[in-house]
Amino acid sequence: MKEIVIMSGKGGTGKTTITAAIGALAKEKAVVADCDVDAANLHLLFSPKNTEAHEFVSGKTAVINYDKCTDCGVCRQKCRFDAIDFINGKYVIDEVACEGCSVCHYLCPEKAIDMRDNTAGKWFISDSRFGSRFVHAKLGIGQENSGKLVGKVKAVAKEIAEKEKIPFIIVDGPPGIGCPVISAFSGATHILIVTEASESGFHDLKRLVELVEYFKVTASCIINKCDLNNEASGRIEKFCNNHNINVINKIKYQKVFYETLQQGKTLVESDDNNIKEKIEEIWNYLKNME
Amino acid sequence: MKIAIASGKGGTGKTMIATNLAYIANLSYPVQLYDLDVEEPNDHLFFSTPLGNENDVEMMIPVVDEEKCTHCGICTKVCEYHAIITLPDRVMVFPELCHSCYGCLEMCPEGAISEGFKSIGTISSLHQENINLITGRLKISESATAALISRTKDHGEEDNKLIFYDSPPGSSCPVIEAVKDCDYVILASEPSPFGLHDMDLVARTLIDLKVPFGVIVNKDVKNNTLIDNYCSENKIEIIGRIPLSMEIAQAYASGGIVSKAVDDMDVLFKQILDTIILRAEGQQK
Repeated sequence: MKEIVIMSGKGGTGKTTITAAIGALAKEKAVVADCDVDAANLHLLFSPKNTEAHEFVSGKTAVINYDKCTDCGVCRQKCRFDAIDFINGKYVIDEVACEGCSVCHYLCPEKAIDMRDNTAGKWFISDSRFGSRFVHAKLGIGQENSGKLVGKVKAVAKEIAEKEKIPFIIVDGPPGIGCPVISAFSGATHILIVTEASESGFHDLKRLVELVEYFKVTASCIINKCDLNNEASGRIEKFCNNHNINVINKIKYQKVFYETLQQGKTLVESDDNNIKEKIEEIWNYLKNME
Repeated sequence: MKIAIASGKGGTGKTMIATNLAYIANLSYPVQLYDLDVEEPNDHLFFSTPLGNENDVEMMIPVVDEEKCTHCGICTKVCEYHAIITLPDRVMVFPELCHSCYGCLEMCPEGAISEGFKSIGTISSLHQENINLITGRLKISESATAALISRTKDHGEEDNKLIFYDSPPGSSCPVIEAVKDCDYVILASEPSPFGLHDMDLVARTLIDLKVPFGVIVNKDVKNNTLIDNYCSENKIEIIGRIPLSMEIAQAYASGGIVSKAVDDMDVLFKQILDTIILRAEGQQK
């Protein structure tokens, strides 16, 4: 089984649009997993059905029992996350700031603080309209633990692929290089980077490639909007060559991205044969990769 | 006055708006611009002066004194992040999992744990004309994004300056860290199903946090009313529109300040700036 994770560093490079198109071509040969759990979008193009929903319980939040609290203030003093406020003569937990570390729970001399489990979001198993199995998730508003939810989505996708003997897992990864991205690297057999020909795109690509090298995974690259800045595109290509990253395709800035998205379609469902061929080339490359 | 620029979806023009507002504002006031997209900071690419004054940012991690340790396992029991594991003959610390809560250090009955430090990234700065840029940069393979954002915000003097926070994308903890104490938030959006979906997530987060905000429609196209409909249904003000244009995209892609490079964009950003200052003043805490 191969697990291909699509990443970008910078947001808005076309990562999800391209992932959706690859997923549409892969059909039942792939389990598709949306690991951009902070801002999941693939479901908007995949029209999931037969959805099975699960709660994602992760982390804890402190709760003060005011029958026992004597307003001593030890909790506030010991909290490293400024998550305990003193308002109108009583100590109050700031649930957004609370990281669930339990330090207040352990140190409260009156044992007046309990830790309750957090429902941090939901995850789903569906069938996409392309015939693929589709695992996706939704992080609760303002929740942390996106890295753990990414881990959950990937684990479920892998379980399905193993059980149903599906040869590929295609993962829409999160932007950036932090916690959820690191979580998305785990178990990946290949990273497909979608970058864009801009100074920002190049800067962010370089940081992502450092992370790729840290995890020692193979990677390939697509330069999207390559005509935005031809000179930057050239530098990106050279950089990739120097880092053993195959530039497998270059795609021009074009309206078909905008138009298909407005219609809720993937790129391979457009009338534009040129873009369809490019996506097919990309999928063939990924499919036949060692 | 503190103004954050957030987006939900990446690539909706957050950094373009932040750098252009900072540029327009700097013609009249001293400006402090914070690049809080610490995983992928880009603001400095739009300045000719290089970043300098680099400071290392560290977080506490536990250091175990094996002489004092009795391997009782209490540290392991209290750690919610599985960052410290007690074995029969030693204790192992996993710095990448540690949240620096000090729980193990507080609870160790032998006083065997003391403060050590790990580097999570850097904060650097540059000064150009009237703008002070302060950039947080997460170390590769580190995951303490929100902690570094918080430390970056604490950096530098703020008195009487107009402050802009270029926030990270998404809608989870790093974004909240960036926007939570702001007078006003600008939500950069684009009229696509993805843009709308992700903007809605952030809008709801901001309503929860009770932070006032308005929307800029970037890549605006005539007859596309996706964002307009949403905003009018939810009574959210649209404070500006940036047209979909190859010229703007190219100017930005080459690291240029769009207000300088593209005709009329300076007028547009000045109008946006005037509006947000009015809104933020009205809402000043």
